[in-house]
Amino acid sequence: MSISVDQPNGRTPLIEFREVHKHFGKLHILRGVNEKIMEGEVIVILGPSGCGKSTMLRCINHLEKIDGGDLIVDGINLGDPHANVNRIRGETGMVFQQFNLFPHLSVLQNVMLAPMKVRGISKDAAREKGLKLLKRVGIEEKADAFPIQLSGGQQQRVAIARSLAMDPKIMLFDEPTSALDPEMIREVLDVMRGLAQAGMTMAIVTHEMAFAREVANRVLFIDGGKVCESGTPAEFFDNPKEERAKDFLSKILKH
Amino acid sequence: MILLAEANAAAPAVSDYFGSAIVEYLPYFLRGMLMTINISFWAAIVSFAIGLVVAVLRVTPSGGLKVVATAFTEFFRNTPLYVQVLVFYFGLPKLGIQLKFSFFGIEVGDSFSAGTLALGLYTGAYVAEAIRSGLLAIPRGQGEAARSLGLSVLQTLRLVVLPQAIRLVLPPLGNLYSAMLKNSALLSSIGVMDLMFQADFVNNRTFKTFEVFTSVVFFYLMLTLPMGWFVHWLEKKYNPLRAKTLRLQGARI
Repeated sequence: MSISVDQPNGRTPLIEFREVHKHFGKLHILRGVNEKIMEGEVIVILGPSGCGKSTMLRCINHLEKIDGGDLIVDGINLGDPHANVNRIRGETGMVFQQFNLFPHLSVLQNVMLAPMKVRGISKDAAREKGLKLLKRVGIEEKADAFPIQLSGGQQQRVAIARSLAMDPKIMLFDEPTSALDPEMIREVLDVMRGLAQAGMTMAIVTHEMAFAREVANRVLFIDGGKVCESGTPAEFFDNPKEERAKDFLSKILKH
Repeated sequence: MILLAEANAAAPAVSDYFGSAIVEYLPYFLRGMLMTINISFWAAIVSFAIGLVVAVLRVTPSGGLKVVATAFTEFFRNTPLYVQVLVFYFGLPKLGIQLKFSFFGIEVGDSFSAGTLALGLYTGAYVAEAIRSGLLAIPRGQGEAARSLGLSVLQTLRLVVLPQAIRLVLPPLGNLYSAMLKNSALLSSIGVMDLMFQADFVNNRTFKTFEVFTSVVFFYLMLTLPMGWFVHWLEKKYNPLRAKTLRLQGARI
């Protein structure tokens, strides 16, 4: 096993994959992923469908258990069966393709639920925080509406606010705009752009290439269950090294 | 003729018209209705509690408890309620289980406790299946979103999944509780003095079989119809997927 080496600038990584493996039955999805995500980084994860992009994210907040290797999130090794998983989940906000808002709760209640029940803050404090976050994602006027009354873009912005309410150290986005109508994609990307500018650590799986090029510090190209190429957006998009990355880019950029 | 006249003189001095027995014995019917409501209420509580627990156990991956929960459901769904009532009433005391007890100074009779238990467990098996179908219908993403926010398994169940599942199965639950209220008539056989028991009593006194049992039909309707309306109202109030609901909840559209 490799030993955690501090980065040149002296920081320790927020998330570290060491030879991480994940199977779904006979399907070997992650085949030895090694990667570090530093605090403040905005990582965009690209790759062909079924390559393990979403699985990587889902492993970080333990929606999937890893089968091999070590996955250290904020100092806790998720490969360890005694790891305090609930704590990690509170620190890693997850935004899903299908929003997954709670339909029986109002928009504000969706945002207030976890801080009250997990962090134990008072109802008034949760309400104040919730309204502030809804304002941040530009949807405070819908605080008392129910999710079904909102458009897809609005729902996704509420989902982002709901995750932010836990003050996560990293935000994970699993294809956040893939289920949206084209005219709603921008409003969600704007919110994400704002988060990135505010210094939030983010890992994003997306097919929005222009967005990836604009906000990412680093692009990870995943293929065959491994990190195939890693570099700045300029390096990756303009001058990909790997043949598979070139092939992927040629398919998505010219269609 | 003389004998008949004497008999008439002995009978209560009421005019004999169609339905007179019902008017005369109205207090009996009302007492019976109260008992039907009372025992149905407690059986509903028993069945909901047991149904909730059994449904959750049946959808969790843990092996042992799942088998127990499945066995419970299959046993109570696949044997006649009447037999279960008799088994509880005559069987439990033989096993040394005391059916008569005192609850905060209120004496509870053996027929009442056996009846509540039998009706509650029998209905509970069906309630469990209804709730289980609701749990299975909630998208996986709901649980994942709750877990990813840091909620524990129990919090996820209690705050996110169950509230949605129960709303979803309100219509079948309404059916089950209507059936339960009607099934409570069987408990008259072990001496629960419910509406059916009182009807039998009045019938034996008056021999006005047709009047007594047709009126009992209406007395039962007076209980089941409002209950149906109540469930329908709950459906409208708590189903978050209906526009009507949203207006009732005062949401701004």
